[in-house]
Amino acid sequence: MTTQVQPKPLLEDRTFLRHFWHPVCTRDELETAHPSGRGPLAVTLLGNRLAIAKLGGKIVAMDDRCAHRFAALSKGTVVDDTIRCNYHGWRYDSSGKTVHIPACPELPIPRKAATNTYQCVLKYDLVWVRLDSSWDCTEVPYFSDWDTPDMRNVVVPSYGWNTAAERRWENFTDLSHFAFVHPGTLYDPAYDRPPIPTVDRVDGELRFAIKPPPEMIDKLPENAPMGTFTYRCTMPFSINLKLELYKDSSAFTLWTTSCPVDDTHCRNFLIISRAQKDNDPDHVHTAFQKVVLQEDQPIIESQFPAEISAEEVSLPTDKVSNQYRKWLRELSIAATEGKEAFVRTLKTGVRDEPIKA
Amino acid sequence: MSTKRTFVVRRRWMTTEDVVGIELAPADSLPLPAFDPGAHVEFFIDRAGQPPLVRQYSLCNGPGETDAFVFGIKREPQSRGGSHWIHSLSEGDQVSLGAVRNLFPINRDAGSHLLLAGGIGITPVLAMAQKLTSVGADYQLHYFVRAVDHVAFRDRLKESEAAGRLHVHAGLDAARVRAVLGEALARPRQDAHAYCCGPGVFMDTVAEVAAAEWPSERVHFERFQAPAAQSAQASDAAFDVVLQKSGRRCHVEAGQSIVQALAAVGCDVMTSCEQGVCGTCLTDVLEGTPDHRDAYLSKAEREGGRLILPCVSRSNSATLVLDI
Repeated sequence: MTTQVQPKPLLEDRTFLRHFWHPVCTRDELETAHPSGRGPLAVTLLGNRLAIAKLGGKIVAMDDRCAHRFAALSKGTVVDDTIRCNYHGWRYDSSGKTVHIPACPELPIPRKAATNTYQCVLKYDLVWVRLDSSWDCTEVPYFSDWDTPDMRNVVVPSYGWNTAAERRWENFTDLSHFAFVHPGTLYDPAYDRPPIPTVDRVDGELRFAIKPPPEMIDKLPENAPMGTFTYRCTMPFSINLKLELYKDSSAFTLWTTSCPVDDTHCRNFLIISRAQKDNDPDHVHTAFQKVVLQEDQPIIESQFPAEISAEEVSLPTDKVSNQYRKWLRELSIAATEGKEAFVRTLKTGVRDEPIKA
Repeated sequence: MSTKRTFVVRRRWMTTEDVVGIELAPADSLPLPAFDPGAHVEFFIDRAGQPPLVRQYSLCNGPGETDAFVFGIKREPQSRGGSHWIHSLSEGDQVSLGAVRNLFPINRDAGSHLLLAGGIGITPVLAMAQKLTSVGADYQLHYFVRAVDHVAFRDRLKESEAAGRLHVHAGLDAARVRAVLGEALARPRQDAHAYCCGPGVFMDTVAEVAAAEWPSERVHFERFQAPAAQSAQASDAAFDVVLQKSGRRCHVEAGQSIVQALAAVGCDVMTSCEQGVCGTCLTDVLEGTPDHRDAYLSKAEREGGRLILPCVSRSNSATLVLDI
């Protein structure tokens, strides 16, 4: 038997991702994890198993492991403002310290009786965690319409894909696959020559825009969002795709991001944001997006290895992905050089200017 | 590149709402080169401050139309410059054209011909149909359009239509396109050849349907691919590359890439796209001035002169020292 040679991954070191905020669950998923509405809920972020819970009105993220015999705290119970391990009843406060050990309440609590906690915030009805806040140089990603009046936001339940978060990002921004993966759903298959937009780096975002042919609208389902596409993508995994619909010039934003669960899995979050209208129920839009994602998922999960590789053959029409990969690689290398190099690589603007003759 | 010749727009008209017809006559009034149906011509489209775009468009000329090139060019909403520029031309404007090539000729030994056109793919097929009509050959033309009013060059199709050889299929969905193709391609004569031009998915469908009964050498496709990044051209200058780590030196000829020249002396640089878009071959420059031809590096990186993509880029200095 011969062994199939695995292509080398493009990103040999993914630790730089620990410096970014990533979503781990929706608020609804945390609240429905337990009748108390306070969790705990088990999640995984970059291979770290975490317990999420609401303690004292604050959402906390901590290593999902009791210091005593390493049972999962996510199997425990929120009691008062603590999370109780349901193996031997140790209780942890929001800072991760053990505050009560039922077996020996009279003894001092050992210093090592604690679990790591991480910065955690609620934004866009999602729970965000940053594993490494030592450089404190990143923010929760941009979302154009969360606070815009008269916009209706629908937070879709999160869904897992068996692939790396990078591949999911590239799928959502891929301008070449519409004619093949979504013929008649998102795009008229007659238009199989993709556009090549200018791709800029601005404030930690990759920005680009396209104008699909307006006449395609005649060939697409009524609910297919079709208009000018403006992308603002906060690195590393978020996408704010804002459309001005051809049919009525109203605003429609698909906002999505992906939690890097580990090197080969991701959990995806989607918020559909649209101008409030009569006779326009949410389910029409959520069901349509579900159809689209079901067209994508089997193809994306078939890509192997799940990690992106430099050995894939790129075309000029893959510019968005090529430039995304370029930036990821630069960030990965810069993070090994230290905070200054990382911040410079993340924040330095780059205007896409073609070669002058 | 050497065969560039100036032409003048002699006539311009809209043949459908998004397909412009243009006739281009040589500015020097000398005869056109000989060409056969299926041929295409290179357009050089100048852009301010940038290398010219090169685009290929098929000729629609009928037999006897030998004093001007006739083209039908669709305005591509996602045009990267080519079709949009051509649509903006007026009568009397000048255009630079290059070589005439034919990768899609009519087979001379065929006893019957099946012409399959999708949308703007009608242009080379139209030249064929006019020729086949004039010589009394046996053919059928199936023309797939989004709607009846997207039929281009109706005047040039009249004779095919009158002879009952033209079949227009308007507004069909993918399944019905496949069904119509299934009928058109069923039970071919032993000496039949098929010719197909149109959008990629259309041609893919033809290839799939034809595979059942047609030997592949009797089905011909005209595909216009995305133009490659500017790569080596005969007009480029030659230069030397020095490999710092091994101390080796190698000569890069005009028309040869650095990667090709290095491979010839046994030094393999890892590449992937070979078009200067993916960055796999990114190499440090130690001395010399790169002539960047890629679409990967930022302006600052290009101006910094310390990085190069040797799959497409060259040197402005006589010698380039690379950290290999």
